[in-house]
Amino acid sequence: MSRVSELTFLLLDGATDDAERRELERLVVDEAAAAREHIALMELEGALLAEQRVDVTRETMQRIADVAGSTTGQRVMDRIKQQPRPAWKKNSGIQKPVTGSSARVSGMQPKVSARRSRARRATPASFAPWIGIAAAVALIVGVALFFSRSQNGNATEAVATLISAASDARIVRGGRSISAEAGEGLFANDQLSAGSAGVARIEYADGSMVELAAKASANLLDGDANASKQVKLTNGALSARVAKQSGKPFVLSTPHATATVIGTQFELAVDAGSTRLDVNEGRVRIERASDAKSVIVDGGFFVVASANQDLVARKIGSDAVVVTPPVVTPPVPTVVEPAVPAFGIVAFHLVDTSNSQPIRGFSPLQDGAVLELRALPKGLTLTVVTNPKEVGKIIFDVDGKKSFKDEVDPPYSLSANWIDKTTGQDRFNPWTLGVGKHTVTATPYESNKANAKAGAALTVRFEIVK
Amino acid sequence: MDTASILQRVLKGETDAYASVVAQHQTAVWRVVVSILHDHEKSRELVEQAFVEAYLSLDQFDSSRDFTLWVKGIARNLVREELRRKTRESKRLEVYREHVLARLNAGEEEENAREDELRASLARCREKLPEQSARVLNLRYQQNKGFDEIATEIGRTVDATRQLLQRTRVGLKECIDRSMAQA
Repeated sequence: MSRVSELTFLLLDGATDDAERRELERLVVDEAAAAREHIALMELEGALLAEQRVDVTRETMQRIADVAGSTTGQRVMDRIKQQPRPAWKKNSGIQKPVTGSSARVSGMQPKVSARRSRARRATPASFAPWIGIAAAVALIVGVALFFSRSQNGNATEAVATLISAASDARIVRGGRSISAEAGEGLFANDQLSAGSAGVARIEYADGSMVELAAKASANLLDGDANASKQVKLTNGALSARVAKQSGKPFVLSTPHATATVIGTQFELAVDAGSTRLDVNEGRVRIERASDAKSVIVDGGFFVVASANQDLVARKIGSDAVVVTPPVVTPPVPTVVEPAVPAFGIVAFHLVDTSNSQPIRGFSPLQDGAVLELRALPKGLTLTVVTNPKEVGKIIFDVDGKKSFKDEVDPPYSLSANWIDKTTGQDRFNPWTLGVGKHTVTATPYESNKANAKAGAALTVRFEIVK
Repeated sequence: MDTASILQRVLKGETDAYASVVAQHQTAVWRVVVSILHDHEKSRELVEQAFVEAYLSLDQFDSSRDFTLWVKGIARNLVREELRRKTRESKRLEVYREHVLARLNAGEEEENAREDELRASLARCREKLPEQSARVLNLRYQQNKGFDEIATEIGRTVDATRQLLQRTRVGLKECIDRSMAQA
C-alpha cells in the first residue's frame, strides 16, 4: 500500500497526528499522482458513506414546523419568530401571520432622485411597532428586495442587515449555528457572534448602526410596545450610532442594565459583573437591572452599572474617581471592518423577476455558484448591495465586456428596472445571459461624472446550466 | 401519490404532507452531501437544510420539473458554501476540497452521471468481496460502528481490523478503477 493511501486512510479513520497530516499535505501538493490517489480514496469513502441509510424526515419537519407554525402553543410560536417565513405563506391566507394582521404595512423607503418624490402608501399609525421593521428591510438596496417584500409589499421579520463580519462570525437562528455573511438579513431572535477576527456591523433601515467588537455576542429582538428596536448585548462590547428615533426609542440591554436611546453615538461594554456606557454624542438613559435605578448620561460622560457602585455619570477620562475598578473589556475599536469597503460593492443577489424577490440559497450569490435553469424561476437578474446604500453610479462589466450596463438609480441591477405604478414596487426585466460560464463585475462610482472616483469593485463568477 | 401532487397539497396548506416528500427524496440528497463532506452530523444538518430551503421556495418550483434534481441542486450549493467555509478556516489539506468544487462546477448533469457510475461500480465490486471484508465494510459504513465495536464483533484486534478495512478499501478502489475504465 502506498504511503499516501496509508495516510489518507488514517485521516479518514480519524487516526492521524499533526506530523502525518503535514506529510500527507506535502505528498498531495508535491506529487500529482499522490493527489489523484488521495482524491480517489476520498471519493470512495464518500461513495461508501452514501450507501448508509438515514432518515431526517422528523428533524426536517420539526424545522419546517418552526417556519410554518402548523400547530399552536407558545413554544412553536416563539420558534416561528426565529425563522424567516416562506414568501408563499405570507399572503396565501393559509395561516394567520404570526405578527398579526397589523404587521401588514407598506414601508418601502422612497428612492433617490426622481424616484424619491413618488408617493408611497401611508402606514397607519397603529402599526407603528412594525414601521421600524419594514423600514429596516428597505434600507439596503437589493437586500430590501430580497427579504423585505412579498408580492403585495408586506413587511417581514427581517429587522436589520449584516453589513460586514469576520470570517468566523456566526448566527444562531432557530437553534442552529450558521455562517454570518455580509449582506444577510438578520431576523428577530438571531444571536450574532462577531467572531475573533474582527467586528460585525449591523445596519438598520433608519441608518442606525450597531458594531459588535470582536468576540462580542448579541441577540437581535423585535421592537415591542416600548422600543422600536432592541439589541441585547450578552458578551463583549459594542458601539452604536443611533439615528434620531421618532416615537419609540432604540433599546440596548445587557444583563446589568438597559440603555434607552433616542438618537446618539455611544459605546457599551459588558463583563461578568458590570456594564459600562460611554456616550460620545447626544443623551442616553440607562437603567440598572438590579434596582431599576436610572440615570441620564450626556455626551462626554460615562457610567458603570454594577451592583457594588453608585450609578453616577462621570466625565469620560475621569475613570480614576470610580470607586470600583473600571470594566475589563477594552473599548470598542472604531476601525471599519476591512472586509467591507467604506465605499464599494458588498454583495450580489439573484432576483426572481416575476416578483422582484430574492432567491434563497443564491442571495448573496457565491463566487463559483452554478445556476440550474430548470430549478430556478424563469426570469432572473442580479442586483448589488452597496456600502453606502446609494452611490453615484454602478458600472457592470459582463464577460469581459466593459460597461455592459450603467446604473444611476437604485436598485442597481444587471437588467432594466422600473417602478410598477399600480403597486409602487420595483420590477426588473429578466437578463439575457445564456447558458455557460459568466463573470460579472460591478464597480461603484462616487458620481455620474466621467472623472468620478471609483470605489471597491466586486466580481462574481457563476455558471448557468440548463 | 406522485411528488408533484403532494407538493400541490403542501402549497395549499398541508404542511405535514411534505414529510412524505422528504422521506421519498432524502436518500438522493444524502448521497450528494455525505459523499463529499464525509461528516455524518454535518451532512444530516445540510440535508435537513436543503429540504427546508426547498420548502421555503416551494412557490418557485415548477412542478413539471424533477424535484429530486432541484433539491439536489440546493444541496450542492449548501455543500459549496460549507467547503468554502472550511477553506476559510483552514487551508490545510484543501486539495480534495478544490477538486470537489471544480467537479461541482462542471455541471449538474455530469455530476449526476458520475455519481451514478461510481455507485454502480461500487455495487458490482462489493459483490465480489470476501465474506469477512464485506462484513467489516457493512459494520463500518452501513451500521456506522467504531473500530472497537467492529473488532469485538469479528474477534480481531483493533489494529488488525483497521488493516483489514484498509486492504478492503484498496481492493475496492482497484476494482472500481477497472470497472469504470471498462465502462
